[in-house]
Amino acid sequence: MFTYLFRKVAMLPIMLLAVSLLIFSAVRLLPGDPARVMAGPQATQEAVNDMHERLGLGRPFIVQYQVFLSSALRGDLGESLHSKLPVTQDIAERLPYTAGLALTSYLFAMLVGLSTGIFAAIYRGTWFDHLAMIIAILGASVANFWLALMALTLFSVQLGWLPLLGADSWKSYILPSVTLGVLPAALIARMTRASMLENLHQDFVRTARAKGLSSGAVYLRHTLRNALIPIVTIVGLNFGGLLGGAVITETVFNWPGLGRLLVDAVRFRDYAVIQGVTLLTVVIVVSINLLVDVLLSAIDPRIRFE
Amino acid sequence: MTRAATKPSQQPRRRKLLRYPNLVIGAVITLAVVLMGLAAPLLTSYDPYLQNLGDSLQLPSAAHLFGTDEFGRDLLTRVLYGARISLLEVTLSVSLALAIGLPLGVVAGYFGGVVDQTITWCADILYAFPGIVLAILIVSILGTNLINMLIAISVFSIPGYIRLTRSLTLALKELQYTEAALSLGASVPRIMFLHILRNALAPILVQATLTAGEVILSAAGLSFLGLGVQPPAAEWGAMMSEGRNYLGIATHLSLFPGLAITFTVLGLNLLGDGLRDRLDPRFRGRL
Repeated sequence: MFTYLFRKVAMLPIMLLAVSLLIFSAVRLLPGDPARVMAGPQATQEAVNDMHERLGLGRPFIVQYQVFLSSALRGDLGESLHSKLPVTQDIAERLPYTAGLALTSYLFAMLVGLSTGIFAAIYRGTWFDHLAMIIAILGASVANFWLALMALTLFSVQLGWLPLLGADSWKSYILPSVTLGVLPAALIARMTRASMLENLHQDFVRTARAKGLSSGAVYLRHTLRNALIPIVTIVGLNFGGLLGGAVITETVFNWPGLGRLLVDAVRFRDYAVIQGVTLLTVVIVVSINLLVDVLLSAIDPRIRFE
Repeated sequence: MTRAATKPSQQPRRRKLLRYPNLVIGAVITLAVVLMGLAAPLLTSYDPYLQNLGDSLQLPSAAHLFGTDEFGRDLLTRVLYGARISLLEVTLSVSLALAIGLPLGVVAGYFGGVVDQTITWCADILYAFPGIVLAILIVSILGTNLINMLIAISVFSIPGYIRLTRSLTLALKELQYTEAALSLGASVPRIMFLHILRNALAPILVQATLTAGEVILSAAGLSFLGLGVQPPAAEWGAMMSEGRNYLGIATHLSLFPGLAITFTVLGLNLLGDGLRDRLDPRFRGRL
């Protein structure tokens, strides 16, 4: 177990090093003088020279990367061109909103996806199963920002039940969380149903029934527990997708999170922010994937011996 | 006599197809979208770009079935022409991802060792980025237009193709026909690209169909954010972005392009599911 975990954790810094190198090189690939681009279109020659000095553009590439990396490790990701604040401060202000949105969306997705998948498998072939799977495939096909626009029109503009924009109260979380959670809910429902069906006819389930266990115990303790591996995998793998989706959802709802920060940064050509937000997003995704690996190896010991 | 002779042979085939309703419905929807795009000039008499400010923001009516936009352009016409852009996006983006992902996957699976580790490692790095975030990074560097957006979308689809082709190659290179080809003196590229890749085509086709839906959603998302296709192009995501300012007043501006996206992606997802059921019976009726 510890060797498996050690191997996984040891790979993390190497992976992040490679990602940071990729992001760093990508921003240096900008056409023209990176210092002029990063200093902004209205920058004076003096400001451009300052930026040139700050980025160390006269030095060899590898030295520039070393400077970037050591600053990043100290929490210095540069200064935002737009807000004039340190990028880490901008990120720290926005991160709780994105984390809150991701958490509530995933709670919604797990609740709806798991329960729909379990009941669809138990009542396979009934109207509930058919209806649930039709809704699930529609949920996997719909653009979440379109759903967000339509929900906003109905519940905020027409009926006035929910706040229109921003993140001022708990009510503000309802529409963004639900519209962002629809796709993962659909995927979890389909995967739960498939995985439950695969296990429902196994010998150990028959044995559990023969022992006289209640239906609830058979379905939840014996079937679902064994069906969890593909479900946990899909939940983990989709976290990156959820963060990606949040970029668009946050823009629709004027949500003050990382996604909107990124989109605004692209609009203002604020490369220090683009670099910082992208790097942080990858760190989050890679860490979640590691967590899923650990969780999977705890659920199924066979995985860590592969 | 002729009818009697053809009927028995056709019936089992028809019955066989009906066992895969996803495949049939998905194929019909996808074909409808393709035809909609190709025959757009025949299906409507309006121009998708010609402005007529006197007719702006009209609700759906007999003259304009989907209403008109803020510049008085017929929305149905723009939605129909939008299918052309979406088809172009899917074709270019999937082709580019296949052209890079497949050879890398085959080479990784066939040679193994350091080559495999290097290619898999690079694919893993790209996999660590959420697709849209990677696309935004690329577009912010290359600039916002259709081609750059398609490059960005292709880049995040590539690791999926590398992983799939690599795992298929690992299995196929052990099969007897590969050994037979090798012992008959076939060259390594011939074995990789003719024998192995040709036999791996079915699962790759399924993956390509399923990622085609993702391409449309991602492209629409990027254009909605203003980072992809730019107005006045009749692109569904860009049209929704324009319609966003008129929610509650002229909701049809966002409603219809969104329905077109859902309809198209639904068709591609059903087609992909159906193809997978048809090609791999283990999945039948499961997902």
